[in-house]
Amino acid sequence: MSSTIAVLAINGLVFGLIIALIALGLSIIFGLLDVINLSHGDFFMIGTVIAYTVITSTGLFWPAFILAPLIGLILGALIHLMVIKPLKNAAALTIVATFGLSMIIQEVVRMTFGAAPKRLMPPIEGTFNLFGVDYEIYRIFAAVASVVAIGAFFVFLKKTKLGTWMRAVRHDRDTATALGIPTQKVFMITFGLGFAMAAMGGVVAAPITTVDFRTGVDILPFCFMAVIIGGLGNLPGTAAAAVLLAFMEGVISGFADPTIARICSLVLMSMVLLFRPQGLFKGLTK
Amino acid sequence: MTQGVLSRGLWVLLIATLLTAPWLLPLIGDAFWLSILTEILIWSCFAASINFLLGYVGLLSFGQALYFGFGMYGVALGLTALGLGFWPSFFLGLVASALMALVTGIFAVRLTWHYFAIITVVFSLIFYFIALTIKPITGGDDGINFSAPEIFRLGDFTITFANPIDQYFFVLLVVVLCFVIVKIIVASPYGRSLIAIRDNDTRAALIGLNVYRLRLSAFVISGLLAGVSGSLFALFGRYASASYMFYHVSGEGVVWAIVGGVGTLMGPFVGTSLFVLIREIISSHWQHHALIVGAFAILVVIYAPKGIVGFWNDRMARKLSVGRK
Amino acid sequence: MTPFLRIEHLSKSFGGLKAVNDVSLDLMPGSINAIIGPNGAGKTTLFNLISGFIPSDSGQIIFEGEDITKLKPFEISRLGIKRTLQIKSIFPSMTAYENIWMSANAHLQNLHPFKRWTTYADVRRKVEEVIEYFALQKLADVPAGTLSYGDVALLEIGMAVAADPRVILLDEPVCGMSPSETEQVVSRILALAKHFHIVIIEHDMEVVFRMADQITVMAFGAVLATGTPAEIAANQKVKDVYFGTEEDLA
Repeated sequence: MSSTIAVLAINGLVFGLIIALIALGLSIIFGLLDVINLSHGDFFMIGTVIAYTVITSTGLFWPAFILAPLIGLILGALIHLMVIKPLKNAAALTIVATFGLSMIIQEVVRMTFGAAPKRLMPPIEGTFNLFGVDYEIYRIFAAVASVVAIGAFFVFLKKTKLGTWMRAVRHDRDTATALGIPTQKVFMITFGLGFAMAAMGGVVAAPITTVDFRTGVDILPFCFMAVIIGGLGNLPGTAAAAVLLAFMEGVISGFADPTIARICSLVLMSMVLLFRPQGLFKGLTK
Repeated sequence: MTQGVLSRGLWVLLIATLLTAPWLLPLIGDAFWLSILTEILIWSCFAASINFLLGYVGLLSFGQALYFGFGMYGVALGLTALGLGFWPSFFLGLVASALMALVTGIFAVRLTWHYFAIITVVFSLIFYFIALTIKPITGGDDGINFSAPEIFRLGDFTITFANPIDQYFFVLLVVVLCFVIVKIIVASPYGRSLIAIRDNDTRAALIGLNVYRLRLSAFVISGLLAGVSGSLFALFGRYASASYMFYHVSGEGVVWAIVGGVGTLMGPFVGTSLFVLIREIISSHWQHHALIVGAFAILVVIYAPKGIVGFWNDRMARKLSVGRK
Repeated sequence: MTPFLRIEHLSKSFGGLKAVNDVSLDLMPGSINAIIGPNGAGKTTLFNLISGFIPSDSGQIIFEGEDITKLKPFEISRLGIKRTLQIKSIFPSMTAYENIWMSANAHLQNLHPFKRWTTYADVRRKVEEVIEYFALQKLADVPAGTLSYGDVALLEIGMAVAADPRVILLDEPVCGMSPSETEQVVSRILALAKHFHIVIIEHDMEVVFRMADQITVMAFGAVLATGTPAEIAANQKVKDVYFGTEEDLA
């Protein structure tokens, strides 16, 4: 029994790292553009679809790791230009727009990819013995891949010019503009990057989840939970919260309904929103 | 033709159409369109609950499906598990939704803008999952079914939901009553205070208004409107299901309200009609009508943010001032 | 004569910065009180503390004998302390008439949910009085969001007056106005001072010295000097703070 919980916990950890990647994408969109992106989960879903399409048409998995973020970046930038930018940040309107976007994305995938959920064989086959259970090696790879992607993201933020611009705009939009930073371009790239990260998460997750036009709907609340509980603007906090939440839900699912696990996370999120809106990890990370 | 005459003419036309629909619709189409019109009325009330909060108080709730659900289950459980009659069940739905709005509102209204919208979704998700978990009571996503209740009986004469015309007029009466009450409230000192808060909550506090309490009471009214919609829905469909508490339902309501025109009286009705008709007319030919809904939402929000009725009102006002010159 | 407003050892810090530093002040009735000082002196923070916008760290604010330190903004407003804001703040979608109506109605705490708002004759009378007094007739039906800056400032003062206030806190009432607009507002304020306690924050020295009976100078969050215009004009410390000392100029 305890080995089942241990396995569920590790599964939670793996998923948490993948979600952390996706949630970071959501966090930069929410943090820099002030947009509640209701289509973010669908960006993830597109990643899974790209992975599936690449594997089934070429037999190779690795191209998806390049293709998905690239498509995400371009699509995200386009969506920003055509849908988000014209709305000039009117909060209610952007929520509706991203909701409409979500509907369109799901329907387009349903039309082209089909409505039946599909499964993908992990590109790295094989299992190893973990707590007396045959544990898929791919899951470990997925966790490592997520960590690498998240690490690359933080390096990008700290070390590149674009990353510094993004941090500046997040910190003080008006000063950044006054300093000559092209804020509109930064917004566009941020949106594209957010999409790309979600799509990347989708590729990594594709072999261990179902590929279906509705998977975005489940992922979305989870990402928001991570962003809120981790603290808006607190990127390491968001990643930590994602891992923690997934781990916690994994453990709870060991002896109760997964729905109960989800309820617990949501209640935690409400508490944070009401009593500690800066997030649980403020002050613990810089 | 002045604006006054034009809008009065439209009102008369609308009322006449609504009153004669049960006999008019079978003439121009199928009698099943009466059922669609009934559904439009029910969901208009839902859109109206969102419109009340967003248009007159400035709060975007993305979780009205929660109060819709409480209204729906209040009726369903009242009629089935609790063995109550029609009227007690109906009022149970209303009371349950209003109470739920009060309890959640006490917390939610402390937050502003983005965080308010988020917490309304979170609350609705929590109860959606709870509803799934207590499947023996709620039937989960599959839901509970029950038979059409009687509204009134005198000997052999009954008014019952099983009769589509009786059903239509009951729904019409309740929904019209709700719209009339909203109209009266908006024009009252209480309603004007809400609008003041929407415009500038700092200035509102500075003139002595208790912003928190006013927002909370408005939230309860809005929850009640959603509860009316849910109660009517359960009676109409003889059905209650947890899936109607999911945030997608709330989201669609927001789209209808905004496309129809936020802050207008008839916006919710216009927006809901549009999307229900799109669904009905298009889905019979093409199963991907969700594309049109999504595209419509985006286009309206970018090019006509005041919605259909808002756009119409602006054009009428402009025509008036041009006419005066 | 007892002060209508006593501020006792009031302090407020933001992070490490002491915005209001142990300020004690008595505001006397029957005079226009002005609070002046260079930018960042803490004047608006003081107003924010008095009207309840921000909580103080320590100290007390006593209005007509009642301790209002911990009250919320709407409670303080209901006690009769009205204020205008530095960045003019009204209800933009409502007409000037409706703005004044809101203020008068809120004062009566009328929240009837079913009667039409236009049916309240007493409120209507009050609004018409205020519009008459401030000569806002031409603007009465114009959405307040489209009014010129000077008109909005007048509207704000009108809204305060419509609520039968006891104190009006005016935060830079003539900021950004033309000389003729300034003249209008100044004469209004002088006339109003006969009926209400008035406290002004202002930068325009000409206006201050013309209107005020009592001037308090603040700098770096503390009270530098209090006195009549003549006393303040002669005060060396005040001159230093405004014009810099010999060392600064060197």
